[in-house]
Amino acid sequence: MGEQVEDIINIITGTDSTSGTGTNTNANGIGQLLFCDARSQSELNDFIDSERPKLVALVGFANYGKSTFIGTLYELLIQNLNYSGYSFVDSDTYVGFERRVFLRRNNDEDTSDTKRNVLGENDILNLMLRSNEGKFHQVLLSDRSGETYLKYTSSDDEVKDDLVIENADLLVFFVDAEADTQNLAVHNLIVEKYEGLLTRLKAQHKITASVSYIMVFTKIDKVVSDERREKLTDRKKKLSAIFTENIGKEPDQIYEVNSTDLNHDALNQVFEKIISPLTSVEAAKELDWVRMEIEKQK
Amino acid sequence: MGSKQLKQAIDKHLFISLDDELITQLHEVANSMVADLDAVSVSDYVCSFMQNNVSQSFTEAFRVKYKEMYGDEVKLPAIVSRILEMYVILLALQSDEIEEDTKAQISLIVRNYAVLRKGDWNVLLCQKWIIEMYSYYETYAADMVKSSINYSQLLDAVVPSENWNDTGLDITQQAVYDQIRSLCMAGYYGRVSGYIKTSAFKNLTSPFAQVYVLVCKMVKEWNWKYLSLSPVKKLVEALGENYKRKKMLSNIVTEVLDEVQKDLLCVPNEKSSMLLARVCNNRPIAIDNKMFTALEFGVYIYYEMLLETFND
Amino acid sequence: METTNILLAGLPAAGKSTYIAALWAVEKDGKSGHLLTCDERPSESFYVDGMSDNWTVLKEVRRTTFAQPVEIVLPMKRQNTGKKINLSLPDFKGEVFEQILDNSVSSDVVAWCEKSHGILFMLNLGNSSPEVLQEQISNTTKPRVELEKVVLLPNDIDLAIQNVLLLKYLYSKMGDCPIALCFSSWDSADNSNEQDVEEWVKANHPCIYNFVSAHFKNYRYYGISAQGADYSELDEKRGDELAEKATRKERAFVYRNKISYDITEPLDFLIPG
Repeated sequence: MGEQVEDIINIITGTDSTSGTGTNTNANGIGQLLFCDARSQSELNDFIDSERPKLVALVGFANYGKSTFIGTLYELLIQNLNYSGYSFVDSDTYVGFERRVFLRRNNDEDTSDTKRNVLGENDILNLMLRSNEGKFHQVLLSDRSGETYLKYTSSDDEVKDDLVIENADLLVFFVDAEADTQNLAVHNLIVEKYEGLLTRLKAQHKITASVSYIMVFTKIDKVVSDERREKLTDRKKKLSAIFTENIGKEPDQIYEVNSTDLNHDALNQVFEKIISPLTSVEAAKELDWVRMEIEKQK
Repeated sequence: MGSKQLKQAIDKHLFISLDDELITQLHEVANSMVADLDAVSVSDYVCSFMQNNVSQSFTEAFRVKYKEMYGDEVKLPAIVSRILEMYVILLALQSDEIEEDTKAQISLIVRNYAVLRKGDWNVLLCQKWIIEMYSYYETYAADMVKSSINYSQLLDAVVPSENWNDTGLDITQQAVYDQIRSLCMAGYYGRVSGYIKTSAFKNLTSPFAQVYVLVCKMVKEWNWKYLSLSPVKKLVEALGENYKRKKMLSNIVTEVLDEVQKDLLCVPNEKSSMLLARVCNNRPIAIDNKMFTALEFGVYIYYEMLLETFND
Repeated sequence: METTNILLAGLPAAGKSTYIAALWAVEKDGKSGHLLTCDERPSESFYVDGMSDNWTVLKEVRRTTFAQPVEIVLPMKRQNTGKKINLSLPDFKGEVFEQILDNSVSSDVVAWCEKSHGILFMLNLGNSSPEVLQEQISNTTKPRVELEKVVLLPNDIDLAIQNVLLLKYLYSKMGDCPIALCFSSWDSADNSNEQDVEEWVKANHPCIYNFVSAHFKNYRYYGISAQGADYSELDEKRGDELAEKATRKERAFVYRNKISYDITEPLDFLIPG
């Protein structure tokens, strides 16, 4: 087996893990969270002000491209006055986003250990957005480490305490298209890991058939040859079938993206889906008591 | 019902449920605040709630009560505080300790402040609670027309009682009560229909001014609380097709002030009588841009004026 | 005399000290005819005199490095009303931002936030050079090579976002107060279209624009050139031209949609009344 494939397998199975503090270390060597850093799931309620924000969970194993994806979304939002009909006006987790962008910019030091140190342990990020009509809404993003989801595949106890997937309004499942179109053994491992994950999530009632989810195949720029494109088509179908079987419904959509290309169409479509507000539940018509009285009397 | 309705309302809006013990404590504190409610605090809480805020007075009162009862401070998400603000009002309306008259007033206050959210209802929390709060006035109004009321009150409301003594009429019978009520209703409708034919009414060019003047008379001069009639039919009759005419509140006020005599402009006592206050003071308010048909405007100010009569 | 406290805020090398130096140099004689000018010389003015002397001789403004922020009090007069105001500006050291990021803000900063009427926020986004301004560099930031692990340092954060973080902190302490955002080194800014500054900010720094417009109702943008030119590009002739402009009080300038030599405009905007 080639060295590259072995590396991929090691990453997926977590066998290259080394210990790390998972927090930013200041010059004094003390780990700490910075002002406007990412938050933990135990702080989810703190984001609620006048309404419950939309919660989007990014799910995938190590190196599937979640952080790069988020980093690109963030860059697009800060570089544009208006993106897809929304202005990015605030966040309580700017530094959390900056950590992800920092990794993108410094790929040569991008070991798992580095990632853990730079990203830290907290995974909740928030975006405050304003529509062109002046209406504000908030989106929470969970960008958990791949190692966490790997643990989920092997332990009910790890899954039990999860609050993010259980409460998510949208699940985004990532697959590394470059790895998936290597050899069949790697693909089979990816399938096995996702089956394990979905089985345990379902058993712990963290996902139901009513959940909204999409699949995002990343690093599509690395899937160039005809042979690999053909493999991707085939393996996408297989994976999608696994998800459908385990979750009980088909994904809302499947995307192929290149997260390093800010102009990538499919990427921008996914971003739009993520940042758009929840469809508001129609208000009970009885709230407009005057209208009700008029209708009753006329 | 206990704290179950509170738990359901809160859990819906949080990612992480509050634990049951805390919910029970919050319920107990809210319950204990019912006795301290007055018109000012009810107005304050409802007005804040309708604007998706928590009033400072509520926050402070809740904090103090919680500390008194449990010896500690509690930190709550803003959304939970907003739910609690309305929960106190709900408990007051569900309580057997509060008189029906008071419940009717509270219900009208909630209805009146609902104008703040006109056209923008889906941002409101606890929608089921609000609809339940509206219903208390309807129940009160329906009870007013039932014959199970104090008949000497009824007599006095119609004419001084000594004039009835010689008639020999026994109005404890439902049929007699219903006849009196029918007479009063006919009288009331007659007055409305008669007035809208007068030149004083017809000379008003703005349907909003017409609505204002007519509602003033309906509530202040001709109304009888045992009638408990909706103003809709008579307003439609008075306005004709103009009942559909729609304008922004600020423009409505201009039209009303242009035509209505100053002595008809009432100075409202209730803070929730926002439309009356807007007309009377002519000072811009947050809802100046909201659109009202003449009929909607009429219904809103009818019930605002009705609430004012509770204080008379 | 009424005292108006204005919080002068900005990241290291944003141009805060150079602005104070230019302000004092131009206004101390009280003869400028500008919106605000010095009413009478303060009894002690060593600190600001030192700063303005450097400005006058076209040298980088050096500050004495005090542990505590220096409170600069300038007795000013509003020209249009004749009203006298003590303008009070703190001169904070540059590493306040790092303190904010580290969640270890000093009580002096908090106290100033609480008592200030408005914010004069200086920004230098991309036109600065290290020699322009000698703010004290934090001695708590070690070079990356000395750290055991790769970590995110404050300077790794996008510069515009660093400014947003500082604004966010100030907003959390002061709420929606008047704010004048001044882009320094405007003489070197790329505004060949002569855009209105606010349009320039929208186009070049949308994240700052979006944050400010969502949080502050009373804000204004300015371009400011306190020095009048980049010192590193001066030869003797240009230096003399700059000195000549200074005698006419036309060296330092502000820009909204046209140049004005009255650099008290942002302060005047912030002063109530």
